[in-house]
Amino acid sequence: MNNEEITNKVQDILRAVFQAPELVVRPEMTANDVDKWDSLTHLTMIAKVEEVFGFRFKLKEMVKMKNVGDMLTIINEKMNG
Amino acid sequence: MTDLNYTIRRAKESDYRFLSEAILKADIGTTGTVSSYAALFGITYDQARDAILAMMPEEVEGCEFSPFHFLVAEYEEKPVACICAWIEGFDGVSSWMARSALMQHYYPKGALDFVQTKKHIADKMMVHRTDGVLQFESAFVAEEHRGHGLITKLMKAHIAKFLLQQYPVSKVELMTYSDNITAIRTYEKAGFAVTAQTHCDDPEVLQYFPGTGMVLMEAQIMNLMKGISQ
Repeated sequence: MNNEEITNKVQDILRAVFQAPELVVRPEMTANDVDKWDSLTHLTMIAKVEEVFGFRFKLKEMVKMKNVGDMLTIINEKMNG
Repeated sequence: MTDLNYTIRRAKESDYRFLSEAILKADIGTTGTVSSYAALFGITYDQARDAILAMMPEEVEGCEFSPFHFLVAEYEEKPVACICAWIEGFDGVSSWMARSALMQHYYPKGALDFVQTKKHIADKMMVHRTDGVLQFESAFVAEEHRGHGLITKLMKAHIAKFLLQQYPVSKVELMTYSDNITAIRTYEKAGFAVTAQTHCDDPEVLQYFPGTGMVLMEAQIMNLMKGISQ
């Protein structure tokens, strides 16, 4: 799976979870940039990413994700590493 | 017992059980009957305590589930009071993200599904911490040791530690429930002022939170040091 495919899938997840159909994923994007991104929707988003890509994040990966770019990097490593 | 009998020190591995209980009891407070760490997730007090206890050795920084952030007051070699402190978002990860990550790994899966069904209540309760500001959380004193100013001593020790290590902090925040008037008045006397407040009018709120609203309180570190040294 290439970067573009991963980014598109993540964008679809974020649009659905945060109910933001116009949302465009940027690597520097954080929870502060998205209205409905809070502690509970974050849990849903992580669960959805795990379901769609078919893996579980390690705890140490989750606590190092400062922005969407960090999450894309981890997904890329898991899918293509 | 006199104030001289208390020793303040960093938390250690043997305190993990005390800290797990303290986190829950501090949340329940003196006015509440349920802990949001348990009820909001549809699990029992014991299940929440055991999950938090299991998180402790991970030492994930940036939220109250890290023993690394706790100072403890000890009496006759037993922990009797504690408070947690961290700088919000210090390494770019908010406390709620660290907390969520730990809950995702250690809470039963059904708990995370359950909390989503109560989101409409949680959303009305939440207040938001400020990045870069020192946070106090999970202040707890065992009943028989109350009235000795242990929380203010622990706060002062935390602040001294952060200043000594030259962390760039000038303000402190803490949260409590708006119903806990005694705690709010105590914090106001120490130099805190309310900066944000929520109220949830959902009739079910007290089934999941130990209060009907939350307050975020803030103090300038210098004012706080004066207030709590008096």
